Amino acid sequence: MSALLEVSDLAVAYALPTDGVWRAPRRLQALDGVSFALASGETLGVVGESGCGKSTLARAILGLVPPARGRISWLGRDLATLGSPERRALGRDLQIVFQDPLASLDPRMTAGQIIAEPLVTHAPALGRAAIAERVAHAMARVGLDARQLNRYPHEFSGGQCQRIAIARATVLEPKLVVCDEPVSALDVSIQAQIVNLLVDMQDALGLALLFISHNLAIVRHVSHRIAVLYLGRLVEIGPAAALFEAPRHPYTRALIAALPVADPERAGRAMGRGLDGEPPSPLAPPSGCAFRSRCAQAVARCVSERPTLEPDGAHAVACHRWREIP
Amino acid sequence: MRSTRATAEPAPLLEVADLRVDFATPDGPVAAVRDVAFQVMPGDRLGVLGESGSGKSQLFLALLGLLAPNGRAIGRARFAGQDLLALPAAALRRLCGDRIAMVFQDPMTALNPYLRIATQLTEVLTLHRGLDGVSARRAAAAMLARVGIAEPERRLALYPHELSGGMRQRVLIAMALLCEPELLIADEPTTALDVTVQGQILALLQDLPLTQVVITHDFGVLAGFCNRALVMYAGRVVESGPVRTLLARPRHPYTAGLLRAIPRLDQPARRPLATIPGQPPEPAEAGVGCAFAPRCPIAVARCRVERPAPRTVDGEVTVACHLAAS
Repeated sequence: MSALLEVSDLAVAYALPTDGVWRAPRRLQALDGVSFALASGETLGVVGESGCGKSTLARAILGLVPPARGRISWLGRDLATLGSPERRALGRDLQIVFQDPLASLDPRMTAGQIIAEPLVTHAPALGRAAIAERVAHAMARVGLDARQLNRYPHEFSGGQCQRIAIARATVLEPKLVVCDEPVSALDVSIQAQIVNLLVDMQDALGLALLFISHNLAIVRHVSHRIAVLYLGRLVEIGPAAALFEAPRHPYTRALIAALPVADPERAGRAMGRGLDGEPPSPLAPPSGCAFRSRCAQAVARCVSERPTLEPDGAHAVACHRWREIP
Repeated sequence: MRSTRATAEPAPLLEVADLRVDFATPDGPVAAVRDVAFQVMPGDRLGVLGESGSGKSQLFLALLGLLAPNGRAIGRARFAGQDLLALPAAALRRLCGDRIAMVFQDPMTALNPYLRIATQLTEVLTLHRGLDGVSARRAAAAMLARVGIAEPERRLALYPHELSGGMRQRVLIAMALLCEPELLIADEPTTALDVTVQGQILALLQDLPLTQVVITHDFGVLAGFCNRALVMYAGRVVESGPVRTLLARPRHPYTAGLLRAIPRLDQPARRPLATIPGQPPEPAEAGVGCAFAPRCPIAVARCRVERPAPRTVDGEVTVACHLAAS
C-alpha cells in the first residue's frame, strides 16, 4: 500500500484576540508536530478529548486552515505548493462528512441538489441526464429512496441526513473521506446503521477514511489503525487491535480504562476512575510531555524533555517510560 | 429480588403510576409519555434509558413541575407520601430543592452566566435553608470541596465560563446537594463531558449516599452506575428490572436490539453491527399496536393491532411485549 496522504511534523496555531491592547496576541497551538501516513483503502481512527486538535487536523487536511509548520502531502505532492486550480481539483478525491447532519446540509437545497453539487462543481462536462443517473446511483448506494430526491433536509431524520451527507461525499468516488464525528449526534440504534454504511462504502469503493471520534468503541470497530491525540500532539499510533490489547501510552491506557462497558458482570460495580484532572489549556501546555501533569508515572525527565514518537514496528508511542510501566 | 425486598423495606421513595404527559400543539395534543409506572426504592440507582424523543426527560420534568407551559401531566406520582402532581406549585417548588434535586445535561446552560458561582450556590441555601450570607458561603465552599473542587474559596469568586466543563458539572452537583436531598435526578450528567472526566463525575455520583435516577442513552453508564433500569421507547416503558438481568438477558426486542447495535470491545472489528431498521416513530404517530412493531424483527400480526400490556416475568423483570419469553 502506498501512502495516499502523508502528514509530517504538522503544526497549526490559531491567533486569539489579546487580553488587552498592550498585550501580545495569544497563540493557541492546536496541533504540534503531528506525523502519520494514510494508505489508500485504509481507515485511520483519530481519538482524543475535546480540544485535542482532532477537528483541526481534519480542517488542515482539507486546506481550511494553513499549517504553521510541517507539510501535508497528497500522493507525494505537498499541498502547500499546489495552485488554486489544482487545489480545487483535489476536491474530487478528498471529501468530508461532518458531525451535525442537519447543520452541514444547505436547508434551501433538496437532497438531489445537495448530492449533485459535487458533480456540478467538479464534473461540469457531465450532462443533466448523466448527473441525474449518478445521483440516483449514489442515493441507492447509501440506502435512500429515489422518491426522496426532491425533499429538503428538514424533512429527513438525523440518520437520513447523514446518509445524504455520505452520498454527497462519495458521489465523485473520492479516494479519501474525512469523517469528523460522523455518528456522535445520532441515536444508538441509528449509529450502527451509519457505521455499517461507512464500512460497506469503503469496501465497495476502496475509500480511505480518516475517522475522527471521541467514541473509542466505534473507532476500534471501524479502524485499521488508530492515532491518539492529546493536547495537539500525537501520543500513540498503531494497529487497532494492538492499541486496544496492549496500549502503551499512559493516556491511551486511561482512555480505554475509562470506557464504560455494557457488561452485566460489571453491573453496579465501581467503574474505573480513569484519570484525575482535566486536559490543561492548549494556551499554556505543560513543559516536556504534555500529559505529564495528569500522569501517575511522570518523573523529572517528563518535565524537562519532550518525548518523541518512538516507532516500534507499526506501533509508535511518545512516552519516556512506556517500557518500564507495568 | 424485588419481591423479597418489598416485604423487608417499608415503602418506595418514589412511586409513579398511570403517568401521561401531553403537549398542546396547534394540531391537537401530542403524547410524550404514556402509561408509565415504576418505583424507586430508597438507595436505588435507577437508570432510565431511551433514545431522543423517547420521553425519558419529559417524564422527570413532569414530576418536578418543570414542563413547558403547553405541557400537562396526568396520573399519580407519590414521593415520600405526597402526590407531586397534586401539590400546589409553591409547595412543589419547595419540595424540589429541599428533598428532590435535579442535575441537567449541559453544565454551561444550567448555570447563570452573569452570576458568580458563590451567588448561585448561596442562593439555594438562603432560600431553602434560611442561612445568612456568611454561613451560606462557608457551606458552599465546604460543598465544593466535597465534590472534589480544589481551592473552593477561590472558585466561588469565578463566573461559570471560567470553569471547565467537568468543573461546571461538579458545581451543579454541589448545588443539587446543598439542601441534602433524598432523591437526585441527573439528566445525561456526563453526555457533554470527555470520557476521562465522565469517569470522574460518575465516581463522584457513585460515592453519594442517596437515591439516584440517571437519565441516559448510554448502556455503559447504565452498567457501571445503576442497579435498576427502565427502558423507554416512544413514550412508554418497554422493559424494567435489575440492570444485571437486563444486560445479560434482555427480554424486549428493542432492548436486545440496542445492546446488539453497540460495538463491543470483545467482538471482532469491522463486522457488520446488528441494526434496528428504520427510526423511532414521531410521538403523534403512535398507533393502536406496539410502537416498536414496525422495527421489530419478531413482530407478528397481533403486535400491530394490540398494544402489549406490561407484565412481570421471572418475578423481577417487567416487559411490555406479547412475545417476550418468561
